[in-house]
Amino acid sequence: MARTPKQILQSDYLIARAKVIEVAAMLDRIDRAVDSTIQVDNPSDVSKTESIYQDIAYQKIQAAIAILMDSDKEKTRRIQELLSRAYVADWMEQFKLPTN
Amino acid sequence: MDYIDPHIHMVSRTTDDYEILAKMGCVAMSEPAFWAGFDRGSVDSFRDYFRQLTDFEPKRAAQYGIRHYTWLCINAKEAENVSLSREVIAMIPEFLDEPNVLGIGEIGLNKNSRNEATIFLEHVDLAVKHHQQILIHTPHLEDKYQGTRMILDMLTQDSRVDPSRVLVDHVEEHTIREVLDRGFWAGMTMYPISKCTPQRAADMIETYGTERLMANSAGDWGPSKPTAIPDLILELKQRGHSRSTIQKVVYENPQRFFEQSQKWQQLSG
Repeated sequence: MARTPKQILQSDYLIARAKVIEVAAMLDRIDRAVDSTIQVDNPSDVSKTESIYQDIAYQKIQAAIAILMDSDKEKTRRIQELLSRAYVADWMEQFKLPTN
Repeated sequence: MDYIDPHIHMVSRTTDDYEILAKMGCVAMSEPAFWAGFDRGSVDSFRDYFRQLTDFEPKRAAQYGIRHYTWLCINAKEAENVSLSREVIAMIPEFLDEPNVLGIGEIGLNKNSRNEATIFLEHVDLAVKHHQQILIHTPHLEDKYQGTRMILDMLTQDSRVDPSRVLVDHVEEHTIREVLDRGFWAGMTMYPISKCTPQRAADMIETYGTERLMANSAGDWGPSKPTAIPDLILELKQRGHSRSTIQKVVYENPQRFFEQSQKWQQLSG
């Protein structure tokens, strides 16, 4: 028998809550590391530390969070594709592989 | 509930794990050849590894009433070494008549390189020429989507390959649809972090149905849980799924896929 939306939310809420908090904690750790690096090094030289926010991995996490917040369906598949290398249709020609 | 684990690396597990798995209902398992965590140095090291898979492990499993089957190959990671790979591929036929060998696997891609693709095609050719089933490893993490599509391209462009005799493992939400739509069997691997969880595997069963779909633990030397299938069984029960639905995924489907090999002995029950 299929579960109702309410049943799913009730059973999975604490797990999702814990995982969302883990993501938030990671982002906070990065921010704290940025702040402590600025204090230790030259406080006016923020470019070295703030570049973490332009790091591709950081940007992907932000993009994944945006998918979580949008109203479209299949969030898991879309986040998986966001975090994946792109498929290139002519890869066989590029590799010059033999065909069986 | 009795179950079959279609993909588990028992060479990296202690005998205690066999006892636990037997107590939790595992009656049979299939163990593909994989990367040991380091690059092997010679074809003889692979020969010894294949002896372990075809002789030692079945005996170890039998102590706990578990039937052990295996697959042979040089894995995708070590396939970057083309000359060694070709030596191993030439040696594999020495073991194909062993009573627990089901086919060629787990072959696939790792970083989706040209060398890996070259050796993958040579494994497929070996499998076809010796009428063997094929078990596929799809890459990890960010390489999975690209690599899975490349693997499916290579399989479908070879008219000798029968998709119903090929199991594509480690599918996730962004690869499962294409695998099933192209007629292959699909395996969901449940790891704590780097692959899907029992909960997401249950989601995929609910989304895609139970046809040609299996689940496995792929228990190995890295972070993994050999008891992941009992976890999935519990998750499906808690969601209200019938015993017949659960048995189809964890017992009947693996049996239906593997019985295509003459080596597979039908299980009763």
